[in-house]
Amino acid sequence: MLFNSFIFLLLFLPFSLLVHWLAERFRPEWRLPLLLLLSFAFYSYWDWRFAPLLVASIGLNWTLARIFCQARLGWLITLAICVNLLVLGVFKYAGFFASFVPGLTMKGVDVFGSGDALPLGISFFTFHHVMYLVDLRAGRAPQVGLVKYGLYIAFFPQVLAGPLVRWSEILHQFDERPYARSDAAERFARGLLLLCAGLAKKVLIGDPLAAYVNPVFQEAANGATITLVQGWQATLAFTFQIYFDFSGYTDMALGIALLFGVVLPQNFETPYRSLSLQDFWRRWHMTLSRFLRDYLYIPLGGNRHGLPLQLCALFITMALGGLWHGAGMTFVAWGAAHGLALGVGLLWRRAGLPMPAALGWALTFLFVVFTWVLFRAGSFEAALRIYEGMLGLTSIGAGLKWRAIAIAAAVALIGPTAWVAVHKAPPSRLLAILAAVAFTLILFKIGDDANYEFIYFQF
Amino acid sequence: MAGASARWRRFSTTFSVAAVASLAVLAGGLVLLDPYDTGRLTPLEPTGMAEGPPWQVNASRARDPQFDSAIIGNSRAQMLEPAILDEATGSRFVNLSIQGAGPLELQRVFGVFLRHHPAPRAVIIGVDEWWCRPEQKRGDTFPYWLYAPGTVEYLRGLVRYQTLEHMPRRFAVLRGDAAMARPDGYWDYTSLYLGMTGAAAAQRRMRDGERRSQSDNPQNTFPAVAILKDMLDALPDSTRVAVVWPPTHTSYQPSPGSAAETTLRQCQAALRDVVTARPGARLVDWSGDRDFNRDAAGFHDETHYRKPLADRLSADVADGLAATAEAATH
Repeated sequence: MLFNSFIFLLLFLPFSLLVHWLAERFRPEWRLPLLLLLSFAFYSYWDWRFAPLLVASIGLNWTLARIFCQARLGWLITLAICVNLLVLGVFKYAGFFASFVPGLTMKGVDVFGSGDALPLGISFFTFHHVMYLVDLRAGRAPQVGLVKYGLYIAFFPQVLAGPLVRWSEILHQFDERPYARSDAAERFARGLLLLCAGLAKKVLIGDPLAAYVNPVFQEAANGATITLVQGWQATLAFTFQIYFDFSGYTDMALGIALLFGVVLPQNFETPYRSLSLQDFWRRWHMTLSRFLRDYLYIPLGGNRHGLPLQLCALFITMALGGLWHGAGMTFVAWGAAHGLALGVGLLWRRAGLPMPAALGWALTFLFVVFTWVLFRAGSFEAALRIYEGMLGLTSIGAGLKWRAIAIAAAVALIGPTAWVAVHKAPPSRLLAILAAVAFTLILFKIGDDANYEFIYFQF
Repeated sequence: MAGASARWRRFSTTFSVAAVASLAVLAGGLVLLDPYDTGRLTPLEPTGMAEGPPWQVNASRARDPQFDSAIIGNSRAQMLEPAILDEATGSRFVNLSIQGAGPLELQRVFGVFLRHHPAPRAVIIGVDEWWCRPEQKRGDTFPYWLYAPGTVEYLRGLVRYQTLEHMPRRFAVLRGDAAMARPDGYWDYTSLYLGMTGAAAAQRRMRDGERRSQSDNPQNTFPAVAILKDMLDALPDSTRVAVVWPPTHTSYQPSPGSAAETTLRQCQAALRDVVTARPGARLVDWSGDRDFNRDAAGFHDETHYRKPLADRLSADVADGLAATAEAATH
């Protein structure tokens, strides 16, 4: 179910909090099994046919990890990682790779009778498995029980779209009595505020931008000529829409986890203020960047084997990172473009060339904006139509819709992150009332027909 | 630390109480004040609605006891004038047409009218090419919740920001200083069309446009025919029914002998079968290659006819209803 839905906010979340509190208070040993049960219920609500996949995925990985711990057979971990990637590949990339074979068409794998729909969160929970298994083989991760492992994978605030949590960030928290902590009340209250902030970012700032974005990209997909005004309006709006959509989702995930006494890692740190592309990737989808660095870039050689190999590792990491977002060449191109630009940035720094902060910000922002076109367009033809418009190769056009973009830009560029703002908030009654009224008004906004899914759910 | 903890506990309690209270006040207020005058769950007497789009007003019109007959359709039935029908049939018609509504939506509007008028004297149902589509899907814009048969769906739909935005108009109605919507639902949208930028282009299309030949339903399956049957079956035997296929400019009609024409003819035949099987029902078909359909001057665009043609159609529909009444008495 969506975080921004009545069923979640008015039924599932209050019910879950109540039973979780009862368990934590009176039957602490039931807390983790209960959270796991709630997580499966949450996941199944979307499409129950995929729940067995999640359960089987947990069971298989946990079993292989357990056998590994007893028998110390390193190939078991390799096998487990291959199986995880194979499952991801079958569900997400079968059609993509088949498209390279002449005469072969595979629209997608219909295992559970749900058409070619992708099991939600599969990209995220696959990476969770990989992180744990790699660290287990390296002797960094401990062996854990089935319930705790299941919860590490399926904990409902983060199962669908992250953040990508390391086992070391969360497993120890499962052992705590969260409501017995001295800061339990503060954590809970800040969780409520973070949930409200995330909802506001998604519903009040991100969603209205869809009306600026979707019609233009649809026209481009239909092959229509896009004007300069349309191109910039749609691309700038998408730049902020995806930020507020995904960071809003993450704030909600972090807030909801806090309500259950769990601290999840942050994912965004005002990325559009970045002064370089390297800086951008330290601030945008931070947990993915961290994963790609530690589990792909460094194993590929990282910066330890000379500049040429480092540039190759960077390019491959980013191109694969692009592919992870979606089974399409436009996503690969998006990742590859970032890989190339990160390489250019690396060479620039190595050469000791200066980069004024303002110029660095402008170049970074423009590059990120331009490459979002590839991310959103769905095809190179559609992306080309948008680029033609943005570069003034068609006509200027008129009727720029800018208000929602201006508001979003101001919040993204000037405002603090929701996490920082929420952690500076005082425990004042007035603030609690204002947040509650805002929460109610957002509920009414959610009731409107133009209530959107999260963009990152499709990945 | 204990003090801080207590303050944060108080914060969460205040938040929870304020959230529940504000939701209860707003949602409860909406239920009681009944923004669209539906008569559901409210102690308020019927008030009528302020001027607004038909989707907003018709839930109120559909329960107005001064009417005993209804016109159910989309924009192509909007120009049927209740006054003409009333005079010719002795009934009291309300026009419940809603722009862009397809069979599923019209069934909802029909359902509301029927709940408040279990034995209507007459019902006119407008049908068109929409009823010939291979599948019937819910549209994105129609407020199904406002015309929902169940209370839960209505309440779920009521909790939306658009309803809050509508409330100033509701307060104006309750204060008695709103410009009220016409109770009978008639709307001559000629002035709207005259001001539209596409009017000249529509005239060009009607003059020079090529007729379509490819069928958009080559299997010739018509699920909406069952919807019409359900609607007719829901009416008591005493209700007279006219199912109206409105005038259509020839440029919009399929090319003779084409697959598109086969689809249209088969669909119309299936609809006719359902209508003729019901006693007291008649199909009034103004489609086809007829003089008035060849004259672009009679139309705003290919499918929307002007008032002179609308008045002729209204009179013909009234005759059709009178004929069914006469047949019933003999």
